[in-house]
Amino acid sequence: MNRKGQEEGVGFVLIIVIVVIVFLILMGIMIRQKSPDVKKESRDITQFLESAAEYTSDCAMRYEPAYSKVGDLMKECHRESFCISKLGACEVLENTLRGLIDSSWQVGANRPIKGYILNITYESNQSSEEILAIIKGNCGFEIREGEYLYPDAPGTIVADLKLCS
Amino acid sequence: MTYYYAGSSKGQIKIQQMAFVLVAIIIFFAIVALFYLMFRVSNLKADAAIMQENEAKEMVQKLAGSPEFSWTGSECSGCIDLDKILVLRERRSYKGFWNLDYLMIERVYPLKGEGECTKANYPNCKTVTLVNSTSNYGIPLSAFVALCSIEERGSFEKCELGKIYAAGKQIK
Repeated sequence: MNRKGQEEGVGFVLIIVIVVIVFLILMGIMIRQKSPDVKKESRDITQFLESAAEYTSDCAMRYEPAYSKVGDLMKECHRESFCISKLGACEVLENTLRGLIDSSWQVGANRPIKGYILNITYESNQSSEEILAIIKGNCGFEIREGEYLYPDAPGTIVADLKLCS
Repeated sequence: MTYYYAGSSKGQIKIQQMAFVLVAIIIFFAIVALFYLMFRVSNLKADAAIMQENEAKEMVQKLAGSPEFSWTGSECSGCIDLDKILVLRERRSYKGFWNLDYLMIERVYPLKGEGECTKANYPNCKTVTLVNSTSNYGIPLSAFVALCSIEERGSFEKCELGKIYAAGKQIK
């Protein structure tokens, strides 16, 4: 009788263990499915990058007033060119992009957007090379991201903006 | 006889115990499945809302590509001709053309001034309102655009960053 009771106890514990394992597996699946939500693609950011690429900068490469678009300035920055005003293309690009982002979104510790990361890279079949990186504020857990591709034969310039909240 | 009765009662209790355990397990799994479904449905709703918003934003940006707005100076699909917009606002024949409750274009960067653009204060202004038929249009949807114009000095193309805001039954 005592042995039978022990068997029943073991059976009960076994059922509990199986139920806990199943519960943990389900929780694992749910958490795994939640992770892509942390990084959301934003149409807003992509539209911003598309429009920002058309923005006319203060940098003229050959003569004034043939000022370069931000998109073209990315190419010139990659080639480490200089504007007629003797300023570096990368310097003008960074200042222009900072102005564009800061005017479009209010970024700060007490704001919904805590910070941003802008990465501009040149990607080709052979390599991936960083052209410019602009970081402001702190990046929390949730990130909204947008990407814009600008052709620069034989590769592509990729501008990737992440807004962190 | 008494022994047989007692044995049967014990067996019945055992079967009842097993049935209770099975019912408890089924209820437990049902609750877990319910929570899981609730979570999935809420995620789907959020995804659907984001997709709907993105679609609406696309529609707002499509407005920028319409012949009345589009910049023809260079190849740019999302560019708006700012000079065209200013002329368009004055045209009476375009009243009610877009079938919207609200349509406004804002100059975002560089900041050159405040208030509504007029012939007198342009380019030192911020907004161009094309439609404002009702005060109860809700929260307008917006999309980033490039605002291009011909700069008078040297007659060269200059594009700045702007936003187009639209509200109405069409955009929801």
